[in-house]
Amino acid sequence: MPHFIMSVELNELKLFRKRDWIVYLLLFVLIGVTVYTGMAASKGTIVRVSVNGQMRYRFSLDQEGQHVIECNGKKLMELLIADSDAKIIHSACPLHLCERGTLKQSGALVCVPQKVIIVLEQNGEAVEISDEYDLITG
Amino acid sequence: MVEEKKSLSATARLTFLSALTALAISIGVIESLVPPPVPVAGFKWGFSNSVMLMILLLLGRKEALTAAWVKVMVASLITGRFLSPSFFLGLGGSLSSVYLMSILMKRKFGLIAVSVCGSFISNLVQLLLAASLFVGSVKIFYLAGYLISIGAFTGLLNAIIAYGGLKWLKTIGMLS
Repeated sequence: MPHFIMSVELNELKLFRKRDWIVYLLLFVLIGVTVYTGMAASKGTIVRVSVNGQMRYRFSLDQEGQHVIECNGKKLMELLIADSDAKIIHSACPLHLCERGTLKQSGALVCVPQKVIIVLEQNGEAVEISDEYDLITG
Repeated sequence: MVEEKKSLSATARLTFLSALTALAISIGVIESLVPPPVPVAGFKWGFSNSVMLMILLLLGRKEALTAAWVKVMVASLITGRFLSPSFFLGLGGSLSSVYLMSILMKRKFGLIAVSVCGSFISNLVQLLLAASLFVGSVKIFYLAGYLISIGAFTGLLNAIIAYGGLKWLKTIGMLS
């Protein structure tokens, strides 16, 4: 049987080393910050739907029912708002992964193939941006 | 005699690289069949990273980067996701993870810290790629808490699997 010499000496290989504490400390802080940010983000009452980086719809969590999400006349998915939460149903994407989970559970609903991201916002009014207008001014 | 030994070593290296890359591809394909940790296309559990860790330890950075590249290419061809968003996210995550792990390994960090950092950078790069290339919004980072927490857990498991695998290879006399 051929003997094989590793690029790293196996005897020197350790699961833990003294200097690792800095990695664990940084990781602990990062997990804390990101989990807190995610939890804070799931406290809003306005559902903001963006397609390809552009805001397309805003729904209030009180607007219960199914809402069709469209872009350039193409139906992308349906958004179901119920029990102060939202979830994607009937997505036109190939994997349908975005149909798993609800907005309050994960903090954001993302459909990468269709470039859709749905998040909650604290403030704002329910609005739909029409394809007919390129610019909305105050 | 010296030449014979060199030839054997080169063959052994190639055999190890091929076998471990095939194992990583298999894990990658199986992973694509199970639900990912977050419901977003392209994000996976990342257990094939344990094989990347073994390749890095056994053969070095260049071979591990090659294996990562081949793994993503072949796995995406098998699952029908070649050149899809999942492919680009997987490629960015795998290559960045292997690169960072090789740097930390040279700096003599423990295997768990190396693996956990590999998972972390993989998730971070995937989020950055998804935000910049596909979704066009940094709000995808709301998912970072879940991803980093799960990445830390799978990173820990990957390090233990890689360590156990290498010890086993030594026990059966494959490593000196």
